[in-house]
Amino acid sequence: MTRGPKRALATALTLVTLAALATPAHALEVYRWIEGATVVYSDQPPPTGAVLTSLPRRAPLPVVTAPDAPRADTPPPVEAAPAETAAVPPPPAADVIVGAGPATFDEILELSGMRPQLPGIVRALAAEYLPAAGQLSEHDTALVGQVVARHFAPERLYAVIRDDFRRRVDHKGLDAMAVWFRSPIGRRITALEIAASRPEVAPKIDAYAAGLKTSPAPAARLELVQRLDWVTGTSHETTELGLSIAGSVARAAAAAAPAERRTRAGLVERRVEEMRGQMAALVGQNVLAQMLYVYGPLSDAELKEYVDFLASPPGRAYGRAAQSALLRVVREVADRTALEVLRAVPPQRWVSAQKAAGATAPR
Amino acid sequence: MTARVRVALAIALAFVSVGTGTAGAQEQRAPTPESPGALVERARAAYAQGRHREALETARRAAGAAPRSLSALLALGGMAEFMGEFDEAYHAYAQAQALAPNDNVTRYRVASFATRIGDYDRALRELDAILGTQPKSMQFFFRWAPAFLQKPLLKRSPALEQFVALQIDILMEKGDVAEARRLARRHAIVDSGRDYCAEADAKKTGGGSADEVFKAFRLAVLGQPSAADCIWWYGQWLTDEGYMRLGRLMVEESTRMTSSQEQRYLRDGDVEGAARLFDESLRLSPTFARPYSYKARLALDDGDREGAVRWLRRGVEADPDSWRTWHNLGKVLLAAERWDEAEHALAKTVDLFPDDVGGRLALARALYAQGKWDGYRKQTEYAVGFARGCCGADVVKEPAGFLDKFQRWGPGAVLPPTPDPRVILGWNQD
Repeated sequence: MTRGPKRALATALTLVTLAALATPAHALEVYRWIEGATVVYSDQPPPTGAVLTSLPRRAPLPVVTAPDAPRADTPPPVEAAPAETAAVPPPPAADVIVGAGPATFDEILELSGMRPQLPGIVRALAAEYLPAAGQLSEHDTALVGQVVARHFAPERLYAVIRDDFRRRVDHKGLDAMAVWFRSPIGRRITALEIAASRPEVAPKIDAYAAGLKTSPAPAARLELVQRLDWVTGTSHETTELGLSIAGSVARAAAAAAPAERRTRAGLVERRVEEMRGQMAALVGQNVLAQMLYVYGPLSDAELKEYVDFLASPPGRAYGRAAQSALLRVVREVADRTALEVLRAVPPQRWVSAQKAAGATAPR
Repeated sequence: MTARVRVALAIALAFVSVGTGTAGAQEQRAPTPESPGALVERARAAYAQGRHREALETARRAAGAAPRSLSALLALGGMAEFMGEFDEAYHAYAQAQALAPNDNVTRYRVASFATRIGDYDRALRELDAILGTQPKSMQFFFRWAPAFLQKPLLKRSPALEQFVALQIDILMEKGDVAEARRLARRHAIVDSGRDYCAEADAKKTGGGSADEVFKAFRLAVLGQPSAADCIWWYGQWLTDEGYMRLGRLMVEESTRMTSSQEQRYLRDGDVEGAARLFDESLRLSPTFARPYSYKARLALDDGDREGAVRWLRRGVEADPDSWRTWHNLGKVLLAAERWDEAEHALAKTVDLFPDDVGGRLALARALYAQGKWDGYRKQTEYAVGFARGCCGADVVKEPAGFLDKFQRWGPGAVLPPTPDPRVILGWNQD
């Protein structure tokens, strides 16, 4: 439940954030295009000739869903959990064996929610590279889809994450983590996070986040959630994942440009870095709102227990290892994917398709 | 060095005047051990051997013993000016001018001193007076002759040469460098197409005297407006010697020139052109640190972080006192997550320049990454406190917020932010 789920949650939140940038609840039109080496997000259409890039689509995002259980103590500040979802979530998976012996890497990644949430995360990240409906020809759309599917294969990514995790955590550390993840409270929180990653709950989260403006969370709860973000680095990690995707597109676009107009590698990185502040501010608000929603069913005492675990040495160790593993694999896969996508369908074809469709088509 | 040399020249002139006979009867007598002439000689010897305090004391004794000795008064004025005793210098020059109101050496000294203390009108009046003492034909020639005739003219008339030199100084002090350069070209002080900067550098590295080196760099400033590194050196020397205003002006001028090279690169994408300029700067002045930073930046823009580190390490070897270069090195190492090396470079940075807020915040991050919490806290508190004091709370809002959370909740999962706010004002960017 900790970093893993947190990790996974973070990824989900990244995606949610990107989704929010792309298609916010209030149905603002958001455009994304490549300008030089920078991926630009705007509510204004891009200049003529800009390379529009796809924005994540709402449907495949593993959006955090409404909590499955009502809060144990005070009710949430806004009505967040519809009656039909207000049930205690089931334990992570029927085939998970919660043993008392030495923990295994697979067990920890399963109990923490990393593995169960990974397919949704991968699906959402992959969607970043897909063209909007009608943006490319059927043939090109299929080409892009094949490239993306080849790289964003959940089981392959999981294997890489597990190997990375294995290098960073020893068995003693693993056993220390297992104490929490095997505990009833640990399993309950993981279940909450997994349940929250169902895409169909996205509208509820949007409504909840909007409601926070008029009915803010209690100060004590807000403090807990802020501390949760502090010890896990969720906002930061979410931003990093978003930058990985945006950066991969920018790098690939630069590499695909003719030599005489190619942006230098370091400059691309600098431009990507310049996006960080803009993205971090958006992500930060989003993450807090979603955390408030996801952990709504927990009492302050339960949430504090969770935060305390995450701040403990085993919790931190899990967080560091899971975060590093996920970020590393996403960065690698993102760069390869973007390069191959633009190799399969060169930027000129995206541009000409856009021109044909009109450069202002929102994504 | 520059100002020091200029004052030294004035002192030499004052000493020379001992033997010129312009000072009246006292100088005509053979010097006895405690005669004003002998004291002036001893002051000159002490000055030449670097015993400046003793030289000033001796000049005081000379002027005290012979308050109507022009040479003693000019010696005292020169030494007092050199030592920064401007009130004493002012009075000595005033007394000297009262004694010899028509003496050109005295006028030149007074004009030079007036320039130094910002009394430009007085300096110009003295210059006009010097020019007025020249034959009419020479004045006409001086004012109207073409540049190719100016050189022999000035050679024949040291007073006119001094006149031009001082006029140029005044223009530069007033911030009109362009006009100073125009004047220098007009009077053939500098020739177009000549590489003064290379000559200056050769003199510097070849062990030329301070006087020669100063003159060479001054010519580079006048004759080569694009010689950023030479202009920078000139500015630094002026600053070292207390000519703060002109020194700062020169440093700004060199910064502007260097920036224009950078702009050329950024605006036109002329990487090769910019790289050539930086290479040339390094060749001319290998101990000038800034080009190393620009070379590092070019390497970074190529995605070559190791190359950048190498350039910056060369930069700090060339000029170990360049806090900016240490700062840049620390930041690159920080980005590479080479925490201990970054800590060393950034500690050096804030040691050299304690008010470098960006460097201090970067050091705080390096310490945080290594679990050195107390160090992180101290560095951040200092940086935040300083930046708030000078520029308002918003400048360091993020680091302050991060520190606040750290104090409340202990170490978090993310490293502290390292903004590099421009809270340092003015010339001290290097």
